[in-house]
Amino acid sequence: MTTLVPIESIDGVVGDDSLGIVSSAATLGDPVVALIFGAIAADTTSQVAAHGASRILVAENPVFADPLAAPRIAMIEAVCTNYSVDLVLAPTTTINCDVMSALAVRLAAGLAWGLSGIELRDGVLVGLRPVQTDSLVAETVWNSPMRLGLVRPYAMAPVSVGAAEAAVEFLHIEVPAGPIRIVERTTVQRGEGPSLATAEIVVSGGRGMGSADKLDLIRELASALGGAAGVSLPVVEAGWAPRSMQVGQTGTVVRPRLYMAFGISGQIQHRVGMERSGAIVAINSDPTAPIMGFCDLAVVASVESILPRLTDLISEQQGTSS
Amino acid sequence: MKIAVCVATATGGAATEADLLERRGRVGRAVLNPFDARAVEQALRMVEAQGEGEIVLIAIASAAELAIVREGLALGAHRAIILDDPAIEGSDLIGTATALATLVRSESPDIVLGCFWSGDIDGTLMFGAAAARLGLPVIAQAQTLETGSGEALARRQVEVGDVTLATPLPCFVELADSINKPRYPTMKAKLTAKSKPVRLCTLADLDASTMPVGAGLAGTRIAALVPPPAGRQPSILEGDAATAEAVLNFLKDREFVQ
Repeated sequence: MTTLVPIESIDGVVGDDSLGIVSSAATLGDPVVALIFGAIAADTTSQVAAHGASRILVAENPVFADPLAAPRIAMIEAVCTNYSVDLVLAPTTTINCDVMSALAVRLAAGLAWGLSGIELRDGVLVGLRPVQTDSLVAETVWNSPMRLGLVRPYAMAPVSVGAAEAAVEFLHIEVPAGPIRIVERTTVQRGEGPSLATAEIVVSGGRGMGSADKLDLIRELASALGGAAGVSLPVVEAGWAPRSMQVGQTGTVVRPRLYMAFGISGQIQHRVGMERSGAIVAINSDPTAPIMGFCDLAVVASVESILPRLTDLISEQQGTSS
Repeated sequence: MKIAVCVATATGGAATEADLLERRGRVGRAVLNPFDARAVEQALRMVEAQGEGEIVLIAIASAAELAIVREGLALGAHRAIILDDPAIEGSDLIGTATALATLVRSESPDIVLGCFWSGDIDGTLMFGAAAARLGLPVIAQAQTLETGSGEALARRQVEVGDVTLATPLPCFVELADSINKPRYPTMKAKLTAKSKPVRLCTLADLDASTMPVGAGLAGTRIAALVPPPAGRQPSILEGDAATAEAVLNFLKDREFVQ
C-alpha cells in the first residue's frame, strides 16, 4: 500500500493541514508519497520529510500556480499509476473537491469526505467522518482497490519526527491546462487592525447581524477587547464585508484564546475555521443553530440585546472608550 | 439555449440514516428546497436575458416526490424528467453522480445548473463527479454566472482569492446560494405547472442499465455510526439570564476582561 498526499505550496509554504495528513498517513505504516504542487522553498522538502513522507515529488510547472483542477487531476492520475498508489488523502479545499470528485470517476475509486481521522483496524482502513453536526461519527470503509479521502480542514495535527530523509524527485510530466481558463484573479487583501490569523481574541458576525452597517458593532467590540473582527462566509457573499475578514474554510483559520460569534449559525464551512479556539462564546437567537452545540457559552438572545451593551460594559470596565 | 437544472437530487446515498438526517434541510419531501429554487431562478434569468431557451428540471427522485418538481415548474421551468429506478438504491455518492450523468446525457443540455446546501460538500462532489463521468468541465460554487459566445463565465471563491473562470459550453455550473433570491410562483403559474410535461423514466429508458450504480457497486460504505469523542459542554443562557452582564461575567471569570 502506498499513500499519496497532494500538497499545495503557496510561495514555498505548505499548510499545517497538509502536514497533518502526512503525519496521520505515516502512522498507517506504509510509504507516504507527498506530491507538492507549486514552487518550493529551500526547506520545504525537509519540512515535509520531517512529518513522515518517505518520498517527495515536486511539480513546479507554472500551470500549478493557478487554482485549476485539470492539471492536478492529470498529474495525480499519472503519479498513482507510476508509484503504485492505492490511497490518496487530500485536505478539503475548493480545488481539491474538484480534483477528487473527478479522480473518483477516472480511477474507479471510492471517495470518502469530511474525514477527521483515519485508522487501520485488523488490516482494514477506516475513515472517521463526523456527521449530523458532529453528533455521530460515521466509520467509513472502502470497497474499491483505489481509495480516495478528503480530510476535513485542519482535522489532523502535524507531528514532526525531527530530521528525516526522503527521496526528492522533480516531476516533468506534461499535463493539459484543461478547458477552463482564468479570466480574472484577485488575491486576498489583509484587513486593518490585528491580524485575524494571530489575534488572541476574535469577534465575528454572521448573517444574523442583519445588515452591513451593523458590522460596525462587531468592530467596536473587537476594538474594546483588543482583538480582531471577523465575519462568516454568507456575510462576504452578501457584500457586507471584504473577503479578508472571513473566518472559515475558504477564509482565515483562526485559533484565538477567545472567539465570540454573533449571529453565526456555525455551518461546517465556518466551524472548521474556528473550532480550535480556546473559549467560544456564541450569541444567537436560534437555540438550534449548530454553533450552540460547540461553544462554551451559548447565549440565546438577539444580537441587538447583547452587543452594544456588552461593548459599553467592557469599555467602562477597562477604562477605555469605544 | 437548453438549461438542465438539478432539483431534489439526493446525494450520498450510501451514508444511511446519518446522511438522511443531514439531508433533511436539502431535500424536503414535498417542497422545492431553497437551494433548488435558486438554481431554477438562475435558469429563468438566463432565459429572460437571452429572450429564448428551454429549462428542463432533472431529478433523481421517486414519483412520490413529483410535488417538488411541480413547484419548480411553477417557477417557470418548461418540463421535467425524473429518474426513478430501484437499481439506484444504495448507491454511494459516485453512483448517484453516475445516475445524474445519465439523465444529463439523455437531454444534451448546453449547461447544467445545481445549487446545494453549503453545510456539507457532498453536493459539490456529486456534481463534479457527474461532470467527470460525461467528460464535461465544471465550475463549482459560482457566485456569479453569465453566458454568451458559447461560454460560461463565473466567479468563485478559492483559498487564495477570487477567480473569474471561463469555460466552453456544454458544462456544469454549481451555484453558491448567494447567487440570487428566487421569485415566488403565482397562483396561476402553480395551476399551469400541473399541465407541464413530466417524464418518469428508468435507467433502461435512458439506455443506461449497465451503468455502475447501486449498493453492490458502491466504492464506500458506512460500517458503523458511533458517538463522537467528548466535545465542549456549553453553558446555556436564555430568557432573562441572557444578558450582556452575564456575558461580561463569563469574560471576567476567564480573565479576558480585567
